[in-house]
Amino acid sequence: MRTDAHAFIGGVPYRDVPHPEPQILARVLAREGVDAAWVADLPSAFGDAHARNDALLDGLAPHAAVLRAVITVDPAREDWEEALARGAGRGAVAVRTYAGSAALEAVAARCAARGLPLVLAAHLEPAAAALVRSADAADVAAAARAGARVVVTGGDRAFVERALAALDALAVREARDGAARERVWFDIARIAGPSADDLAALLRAAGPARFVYGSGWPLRLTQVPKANLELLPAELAGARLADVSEIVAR
Amino acid sequence: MLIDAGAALAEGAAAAARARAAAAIGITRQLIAGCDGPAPDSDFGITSLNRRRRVLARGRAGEVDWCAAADARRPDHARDQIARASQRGAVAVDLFTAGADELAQDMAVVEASRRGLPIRLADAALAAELARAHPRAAFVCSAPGDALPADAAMDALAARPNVHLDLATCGAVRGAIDAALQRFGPDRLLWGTAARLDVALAQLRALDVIAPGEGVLDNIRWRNALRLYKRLGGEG
Repeated sequence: MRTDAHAFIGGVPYRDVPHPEPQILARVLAREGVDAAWVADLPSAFGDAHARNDALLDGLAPHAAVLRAVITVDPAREDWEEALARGAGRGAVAVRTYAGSAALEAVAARCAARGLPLVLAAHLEPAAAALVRSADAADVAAAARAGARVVVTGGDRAFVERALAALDALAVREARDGAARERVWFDIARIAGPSADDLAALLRAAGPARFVYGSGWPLRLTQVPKANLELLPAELAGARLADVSEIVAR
Repeated sequence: MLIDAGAALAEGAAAAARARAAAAIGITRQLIAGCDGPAPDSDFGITSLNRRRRVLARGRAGEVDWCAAADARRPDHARDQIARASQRGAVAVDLFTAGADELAQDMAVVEASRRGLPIRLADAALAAELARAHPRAAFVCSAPGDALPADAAMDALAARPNVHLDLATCGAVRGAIDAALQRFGPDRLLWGTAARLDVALAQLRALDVIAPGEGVLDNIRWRNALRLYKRLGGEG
């Protein structure tokens, strides 16, 4: 089973994103040999998140066999718990948020209580950086500390190393919560392959079970993660990443 | 045949990783190049960079060619490096332009073009300006990464027939290769890996989906590079 943990539908306000529709994504996944995708609504990162969750769930419904909805929740809004409950009730597979600090911990705790993984974005793309809050290493540690299973998308090697260090520090500081690191996974969409070989270095250091397949479609070329895995050194060829479908089942 | 028309200089462990990935992709010839990021901070730094590139190419003659770096902020040294590089088999000039005045940029362009060497630049807007001012010189815009040049700069660049685009400039951004094909056409695109062979391999596969026909793909994969870089060796 290979699930793309990092996909969206919809566009961004500052550039044209070609054909970001669910039916195109379903076709791309079939072409690339990817079994399924976790799909969030991209415009929700830039605007009224809750208003678009129902449209996301409706839009993905005809492709339910392969496209799983990741609703977006904004804890700055009073109705965020209601939005989360409504999305969960309609079959959302996970929750995305772009919030930080205490609000993030509240969302993470509620996700943990409901058994829903939380998806945090380390990066969308350069032009989005001024418009959307990105998660930092402390956010990842805080969300894991609150008990959520956390999938981090768009992190590069430096981000992953910072987050793992923050999780290790958490384990030392709070001996009761050494398992927080085991609740965090990183997608490989933006981790460099050769010649830097960042992906190889991270797989050696943290183990393939900490990483999941992710592309960043429709912002990024869907072919990149597959190419990256193919170009791994011989001793890592066939390294088995975790799959987000397994994370849901835990 | 598959020509990497813009391969970043890799040393140490990165060189081994590049060799492994290049073999897996099936790259037959590499042009060691790169003019993005800050220039080396001294004449010695530029000279040293050129020596390392040249030594690598000499050690793998038939597989690797090199592009000479020149910093337009240091016009005398730039002219000297271009002249020496031309005698020593460089196939193009990587011109670092940040902080250089217009006259110094022009001088470096004239020095390279009179020797028949295409000029590679990372600044898309400047490349368009220089290509307009020097219509008989050949230019390549190469700005690897995911931060695309502004649409206006790309339009200005595409309007100059003496400019090629290195696809490394499109990074992993979906839609960027389609836009480059529309703007430049398949005869003015070069496939370069820069420092990301994974992204470059993904681009080849994206081109298989996007580009119309094998002949067009061959232009991007190698034919355009051979036509532009006249000093590139024969069959790879």
